[in-house]
Amino acid sequence: MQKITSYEDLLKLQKKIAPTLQVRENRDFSAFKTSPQICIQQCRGAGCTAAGGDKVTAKFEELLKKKGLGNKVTIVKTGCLGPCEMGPTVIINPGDILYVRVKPEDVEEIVEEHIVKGQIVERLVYHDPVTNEAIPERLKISFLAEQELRIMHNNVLMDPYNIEEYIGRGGYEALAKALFKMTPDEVLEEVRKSNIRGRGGAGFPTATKWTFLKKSPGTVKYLLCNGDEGDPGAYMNRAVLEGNPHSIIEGMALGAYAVENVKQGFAYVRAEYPLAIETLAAAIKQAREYGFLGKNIMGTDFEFNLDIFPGAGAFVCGEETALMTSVEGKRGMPRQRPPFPSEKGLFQKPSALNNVETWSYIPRIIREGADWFTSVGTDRCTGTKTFSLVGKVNNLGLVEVPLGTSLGKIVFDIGGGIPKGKKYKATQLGGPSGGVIPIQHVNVPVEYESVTALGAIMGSGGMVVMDEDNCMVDIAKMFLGFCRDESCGKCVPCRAGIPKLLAILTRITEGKGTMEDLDKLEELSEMMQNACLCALGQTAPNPALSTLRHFREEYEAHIIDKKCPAAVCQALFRAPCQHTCPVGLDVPGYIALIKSDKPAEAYKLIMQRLPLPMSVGRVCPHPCEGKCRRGQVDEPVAIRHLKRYASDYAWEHGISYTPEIKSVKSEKVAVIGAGPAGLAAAWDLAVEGYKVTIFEALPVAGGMLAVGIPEYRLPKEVLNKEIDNIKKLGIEIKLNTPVKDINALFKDGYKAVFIGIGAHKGDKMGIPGEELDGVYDAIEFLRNVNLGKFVDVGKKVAVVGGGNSAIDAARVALRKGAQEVHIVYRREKADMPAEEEEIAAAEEEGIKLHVLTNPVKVIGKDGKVVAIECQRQSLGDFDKSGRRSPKAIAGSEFNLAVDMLIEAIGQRPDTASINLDDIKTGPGGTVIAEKRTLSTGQKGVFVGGDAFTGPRTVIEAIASGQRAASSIKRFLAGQELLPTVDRKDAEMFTYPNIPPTEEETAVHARVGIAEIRLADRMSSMKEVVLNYTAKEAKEECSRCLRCDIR
Amino acid sequence: MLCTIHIDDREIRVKQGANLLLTALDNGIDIPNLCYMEGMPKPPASCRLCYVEIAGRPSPVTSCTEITVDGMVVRTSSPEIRRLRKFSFDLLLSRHQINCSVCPANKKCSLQQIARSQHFRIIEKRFNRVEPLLPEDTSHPLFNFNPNRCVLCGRCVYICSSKGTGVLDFAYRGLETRVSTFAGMPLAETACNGCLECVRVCPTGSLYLKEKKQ
Repeated sequence: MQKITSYEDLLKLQKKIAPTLQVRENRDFSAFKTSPQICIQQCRGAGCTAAGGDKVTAKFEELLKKKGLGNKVTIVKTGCLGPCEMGPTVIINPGDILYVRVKPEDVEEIVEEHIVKGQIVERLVYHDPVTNEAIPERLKISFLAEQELRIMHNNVLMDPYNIEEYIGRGGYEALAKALFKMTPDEVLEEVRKSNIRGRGGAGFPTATKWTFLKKSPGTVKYLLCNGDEGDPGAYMNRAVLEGNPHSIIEGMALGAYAVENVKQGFAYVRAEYPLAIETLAAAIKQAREYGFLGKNIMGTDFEFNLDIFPGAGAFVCGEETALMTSVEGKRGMPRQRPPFPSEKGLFQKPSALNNVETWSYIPRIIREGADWFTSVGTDRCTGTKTFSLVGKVNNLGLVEVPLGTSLGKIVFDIGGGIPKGKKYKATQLGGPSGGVIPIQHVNVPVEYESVTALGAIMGSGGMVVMDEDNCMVDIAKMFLGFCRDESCGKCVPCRAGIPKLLAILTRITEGKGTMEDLDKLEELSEMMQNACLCALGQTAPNPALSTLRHFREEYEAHIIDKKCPAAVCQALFRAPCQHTCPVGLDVPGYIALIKSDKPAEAYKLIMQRLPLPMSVGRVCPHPCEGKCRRGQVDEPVAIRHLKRYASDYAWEHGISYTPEIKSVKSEKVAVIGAGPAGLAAAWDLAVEGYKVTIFEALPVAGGMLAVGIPEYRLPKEVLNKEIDNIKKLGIEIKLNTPVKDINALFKDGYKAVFIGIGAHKGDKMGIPGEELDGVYDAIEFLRNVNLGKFVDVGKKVAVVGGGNSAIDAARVALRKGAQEVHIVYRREKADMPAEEEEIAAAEEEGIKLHVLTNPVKVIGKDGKVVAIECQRQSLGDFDKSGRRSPKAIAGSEFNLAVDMLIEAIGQRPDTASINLDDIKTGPGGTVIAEKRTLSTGQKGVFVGGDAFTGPRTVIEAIASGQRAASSIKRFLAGQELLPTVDRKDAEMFTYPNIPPTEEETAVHARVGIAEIRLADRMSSMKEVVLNYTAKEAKEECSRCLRCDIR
Repeated sequence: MLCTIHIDDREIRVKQGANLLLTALDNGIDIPNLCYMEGMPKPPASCRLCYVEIAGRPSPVTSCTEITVDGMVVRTSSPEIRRLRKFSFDLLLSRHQINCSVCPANKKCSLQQIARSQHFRIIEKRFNRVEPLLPEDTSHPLFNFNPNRCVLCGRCVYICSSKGTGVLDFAYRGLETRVSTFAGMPLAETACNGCLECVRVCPTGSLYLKEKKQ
């Protein structure tokens, strides 16, 4: 080939190549059949190659040759296109049709159907994870549709090993434009106008850096490219190095021209990126051959050379002074600044270092102008930025968005949200030097300043998404461990300080931490930020500080409660299920007992911590199953069903269990409310030997279990059987006896009082017409039905709300004669707080869901409700709960004709009914008490359950009753109250400790549970969910992985 | 060209662009330091002890990496400077074998001198002490190397490469960092010519002459 020696030479070559590349950008699929040329663009990035991309290519080549299509169809191996998790990817043009996860055996079908017949193979294209709709066009898949591809754009259109393709796409035109039409100062000015800031993380304005270098005295200066990309989970730069290496070369040549006196550049690329080094090396070789590097570039007297320096495998070499020391051939240790590299850098000469992404942006800024660059982004942070989106997110891969895009948009719209319906928790930005951005800040625009204000850093672009199963202390520990291993050891605060920090975190994750440790952690971190020599040490404490700032409660849970809320820190527990259970049930134990044919023993083991196992076995929202490790294999073990199985078995066989009373004591304790919290507290106190009286305002015991949960979920017979068993301990339950005055109880000789009045008052929406006849709140409605009172259920019923009460009310209304039941909810179905299985059951029974709909007015006639006026909602910004908040769509009002409206939007404790004196209530009408001891402002008065927490779950209420009982016990004994529950199980149980066999650990879906026929449901309140048979239960037990055996 | 600077209210006339730490020391003003040596082209600034405050700078800086500028106003002590120095000093000692009574450097050890001048304690409970517990190299006929007393100031590495035969450098990372010969071979088997410059510059009793008691 011939060297390019003039602007005209370049344009001539460009003109020759450009038409041959056009087909690759032809997105019009209708042109496919008539197109003289077809192009298969296959990603050769690491993700696709690792997934077997080369075999797919080979198969394509083989089949095309066999079919004689070699002339018409070309195959190009291109750079990375972003959605790495979907590899190997294949794009076929015209049409821009994307095939994902292509296997060699799929190739024949693609060739036969698509290439030959022009039919898209739907089975192999991207399917939307929510709607399951097939989306063949690449730029329409949700992952790419919301992106702004400027850096990544060229990746899929070129063979990175072919310089002519780069030229054909306008490459080296910017360099030509600079050399022939612009002065160095004009180039620098254009970069300044673009306001581009360093993409490596710190965001220093690139033009300012170049100006320092330009003004620095000397005739030998260096430019460097930082391709060390060492942040765990970050690989944006690799995609550019591997997919578009010439843009980096051209960018550096432009930089050298603008700065002047630069004849040599170095690209420092980490040795762990062999493909990137190979690609860039090939590109440099070609650029030399074509006269874009070396002496007399494009026939001018401009000279610039570029060499690759493979990194030495140390994270610290991403720090600019360490990188330069490393290029000098020495151990990569940083130097104190000042002097800054612009004065004394590489080989003691003035130097400047920019990130890969910054360099690759420069040619387009010069060619297309600063205005093009600033047309996206924010005022202070212009342009786009690439991120690598990893962690707990559905769509993994490379993402390019304008700076200032909200984090929520990246995680939820582009990333597709969190897998397996888990709850989003936080995103880590900036790797080991960065910090976390918690869910309540998910609206934050991702740009340098706003991210820094939240204690994170932008960093080079690593974005690690974390969900409820990530422990924040563990995350901080992981990053600090990384920094400890990567510290160069030069300065003492980093070398010796990081291990001290790490020791504190390790202590905390092992449950040996103290609250003073948190102060020490902060002090040590602050000292390190000030004393360390380079950014590695100065920023190493950031993940710890940032998690402590946003998740202090989680640290306190480890220290005070000895609990890891995410069930990650193994030193704190036997098994995640047991650890997550609010009452700490020995789940592996009772599963092992059921498995070895001892269900009655299993029941007794459950009874050590849970006096209502049949009820809880039916209605518990089973947080344990959410953390069950089996869920990572296939589905969680059906822990709740197994609990029901064991306790129902005992009942059916006439077995009941009451523990022995430890020692009879003289003190009397009053419990207000016979709900799960009150019953649990009474049980524990009675076992201790206290005389317990429960005062219940309603005519039945059981609280919400009796009057909130419908019969078809929890039959009254079951609940009453359990309450009778509780009474066997000598507990007296006084029904129809509301307590008006707590002090009167003390006068009556009670030495301690537990308030467990629950949350039985329904919230109102506050819209016009709520006073009309036929408007109920769900709590009132369910209570009346449960108490057997007459309720005039309408023919057409609307229920407002998305929680379990809403579903319960809707399903009850249906059973009580309603012909049509509508649930109106203002967000999307996925946002509904009700349990998924309950929503599914409601839909199955014919209940109609109106999501993104909100009632604004109740319309009445003759004092009775006849319709509700609703408004459609659209989802706007994210709120503090991490969900998009609904916004009314103006003019979308419509009427829903109903003759009954049930509001199920929230509930609160009815504290007004009791004279509380020194006891204060807080938001939502809840009783204020010390969080862990549950002691209120009045001596001897304790609180628990929904009355303290607001509406929560049965199992949490029981745990809270037990916690209060533990405090009452210590209070009556004159002992100091403890932040943890002080208890000992009455009996010890032994069960086989046999790890699961290989067969048992193999994929095996959860054993399904039988339900009564749909036809039988509508007319009766019969229990819907049936029990496991003995065989089914044992089979399900064999799915337990026995995490408790280590 | 001479310039005028002020260190702790003392007016000093000095060559413009001179090393600040050296200027202070030459004028009898004590600033604790371990890693700097006159003539170094690039001060390592790794011991993090020689902090001073310079008017106009937001936080204390290491004086070894600063050069004199006309009108410079310097303070060598303040609560913040003391806090930073003590932090580094305590961390250095948390990794230092303390058995002064049998140490050849006893009474002339830089750590002891700094403790005396700064009123720091050698035995400090702030951080758990974790000694490296590395084997001592006694292979060389003239001197021994006890890495457990080493504070990684790097003076030996610098002097060996500039005046000796360049057989010493840092190896490993983080807390495991140590001064080492190539692949950890015994000193006697290296190209060491026995110039003993390293022993001369060692501020602790890590590199010491053979005939002295251990």
